[in-house]
Amino acid sequence: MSHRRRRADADLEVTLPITPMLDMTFQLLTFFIFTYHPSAIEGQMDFSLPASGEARARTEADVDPNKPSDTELALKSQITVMLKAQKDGLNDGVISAVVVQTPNGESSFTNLEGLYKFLNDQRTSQDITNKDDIQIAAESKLKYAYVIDAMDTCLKAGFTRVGFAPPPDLTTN
Amino acid sequence: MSHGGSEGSAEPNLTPLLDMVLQLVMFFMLVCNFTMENVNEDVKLPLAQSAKPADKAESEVLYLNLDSKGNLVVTGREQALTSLAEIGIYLRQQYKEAEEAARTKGDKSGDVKTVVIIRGHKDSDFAPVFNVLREAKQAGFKKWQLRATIVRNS
Repeated sequence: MSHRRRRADADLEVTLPITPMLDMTFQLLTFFIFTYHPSAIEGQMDFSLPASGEARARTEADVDPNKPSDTELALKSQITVMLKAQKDGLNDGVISAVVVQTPNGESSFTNLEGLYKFLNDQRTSQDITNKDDIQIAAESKLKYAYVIDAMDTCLKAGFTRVGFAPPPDLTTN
Repeated sequence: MSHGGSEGSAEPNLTPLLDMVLQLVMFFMLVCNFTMENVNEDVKLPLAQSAKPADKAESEVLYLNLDSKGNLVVTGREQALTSLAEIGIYLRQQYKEAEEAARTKGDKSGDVKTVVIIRGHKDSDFAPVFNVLREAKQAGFKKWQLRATIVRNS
C-alpha cells in the first residue's frame, strides 16, 4: 500500500501559477516607471553664524548691554571675504568685486578664480594661524547662487568652517 | 493526414521573464525618489562642488524653502511668508513645537536638536536668506545646513 502511495506522489506535479504573478509585477513596474523622475542630487553645506549680539545694533544708542551674547565664538577667522554686488540695472546681483581682508591688508579680485588662488596661498602663509575658519560678508543684493559659489571656493581652497557675517550694506546704513 | 502536433501544448517558460521583471521592479524601488512633503520642487538650488551628500541620519529637521523672491514657502499654506515678522512668528512656533516634542520624548530640558535646512532659490538675494537664518537663530535653533545641488568635477 505504501508503495502505491509513493508512486502516486511522484506522478503529482505542482505547478505555480506564474501568469498572475507576472501581471502583478508588470503593474508594479509600470507604477515605478511612471513615478520615477530622476532629480539632481542634493547635498549639504555646513556653516556658522555670527553670535547673536554681534553686528545687530545699527547705532551706538541701539546697543543693549543687558542682552546676553552667545558664549561660543562663531567667528574667529582671520580672513574675511567681502562680496560686492553689481547695481547697474543690467547685471544686478552679479559679483562686481571680491575683497579679501587679511591681517596683512586688503586684496581685491574680479572673479572667484583669483580668490581661489589667493586663498590657497594664504593657507600656506605663516601669517595665517587659523587655517580652518573663514568668513563671508556678502552684500544684501547679491544673488544667493554667487554666495554659494564663494562658499564653494573657500571650501575647495581648504577652509573647513565657513561663517556668514551680516550683509555689510545693511549693518552700516 | 493527421494533425499530431496540435495535441501537445506549447507553454512558454515565464520564469526567466518574471525574474527579469522583478529585478527591474527592485531597481526602480531603490532609485525611486518619492517627493518629500517638505521639499519644494520649485526651488532651484544653487550648484556646489564641495557639497557633501545629505546626512539622512538626522531625524529632526525643519526645511525652510525660500523662493526666487526670498519669500518663505511653507507646506500647507497657500501664501508664502513675506515679512520678517511673519517668518519670526512661524519659526518661534516651530521651535516651541520642537521643544514640546523633545519633552514628550523624555528629555526634561526640552533641548531642541532640530536641524534647520535652508533650501534657497539660486536667484534669490542673499539678504532674505540671511534674515531667515537670523530669525531662526533668534527663535532658538542651533544647528544649520544649506542645501545645494552637488556638481561633480568633470
